Amino acid sequence: MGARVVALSRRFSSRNALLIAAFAGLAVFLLRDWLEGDMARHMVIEFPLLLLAGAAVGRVLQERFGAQIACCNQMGLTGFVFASLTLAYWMIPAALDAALGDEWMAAAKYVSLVVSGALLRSSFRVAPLAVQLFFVGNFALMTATVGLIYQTAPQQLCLNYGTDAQLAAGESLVALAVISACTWCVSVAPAFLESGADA
Amino acid sequence: MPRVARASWMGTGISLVAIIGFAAAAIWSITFGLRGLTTEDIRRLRVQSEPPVLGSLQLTSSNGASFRPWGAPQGSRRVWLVTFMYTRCPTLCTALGIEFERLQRALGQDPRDDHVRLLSISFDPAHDDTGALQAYAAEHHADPARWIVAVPSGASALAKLEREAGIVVIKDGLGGYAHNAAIHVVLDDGRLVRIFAFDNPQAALTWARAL
Repeated sequence: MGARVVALSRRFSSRNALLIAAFAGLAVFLLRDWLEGDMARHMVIEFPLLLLAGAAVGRVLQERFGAQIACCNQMGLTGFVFASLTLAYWMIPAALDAALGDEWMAAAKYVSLVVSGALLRSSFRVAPLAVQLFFVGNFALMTATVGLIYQTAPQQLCLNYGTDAQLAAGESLVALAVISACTWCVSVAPAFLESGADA
Repeated sequence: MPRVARASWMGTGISLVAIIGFAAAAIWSITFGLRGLTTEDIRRLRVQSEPPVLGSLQLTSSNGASFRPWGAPQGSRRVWLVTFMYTRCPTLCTALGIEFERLQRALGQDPRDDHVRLLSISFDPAHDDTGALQAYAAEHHADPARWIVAVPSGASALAKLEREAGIVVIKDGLGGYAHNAAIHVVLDDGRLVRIFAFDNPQAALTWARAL
């Protein structure tokens, strides 16, 4: 995430971005049953794959709709709020169950996560570090808290996943929270140090 | 502030209001008005406010008889306390069996409970034939006059019942199943009016007694 991702994404051509979107989208499409057959794979592999597909689509759309997106995404706030609420929603056990039992809810999940990925990419490019810190910190805290709840809940939370899968998903979510926060810190460190040196 | 920047903040503000409003509505809807986070919690709350009607169901009982527990043209006061199970289950269904055994004893002690019947429905027809059902009934001393152990006659009947009642059965990876275990109160017309925790049969009985 953050500056490094932005720097990398600038180097990607639209064609490469399309390839990444196609790869991530195809992976989800082809491996859907396997990914969604386990709670941890569903949340910690499929969700990021959809965000990645969205970020790549966002790169493609940037040239055409960049100005329009920017006009509604001051300081990256719209993208961050949309992605935070989307991720929070799909961490509700009832929502996760609904996405497995209802095709419309499944479609809503795919679309909302892909749009989140596209908006997140746009937001990380324009948001000041303080805004990024707030949302990355919020995401990490929320994900770790949900992970801990999944690990300690005495009962089965999702009807479609057993308690063993729930425990593994909880551990994976905590790991994802830590990795996301660390990745962001490492990626923004150069920019942070640079701004410190300027001051 | 320059006009372009002001317009841009206005666009951001409108987008944020729309996103937060939509998200609030979506969260309100999926949590049944912020009253539950899990599908099982919400299933129990939902039947209280909008009791679903279970369709007519053909069952085969442990003594091989075919019958329809509810949906009869002539309504009666009969109330079914229904659980879903599979006879090989070493954990929850055994606990459910023990709870039903206790309930059966309690039912026998009070003539006001004549209208209450216990019904254990297996969702594992591939294994739970009449012999397996009989063994389960014998193990828990089920009295056929009060407690019927049965399996739906046909896979489509089972799928329909699971869909209507909101039962989800998944493989546990050890050759068995995980499922939502609870005591369902079903009236003679097929209305599923309450769902109680499987370890609180007394509450289910108290409620059924009052019907």
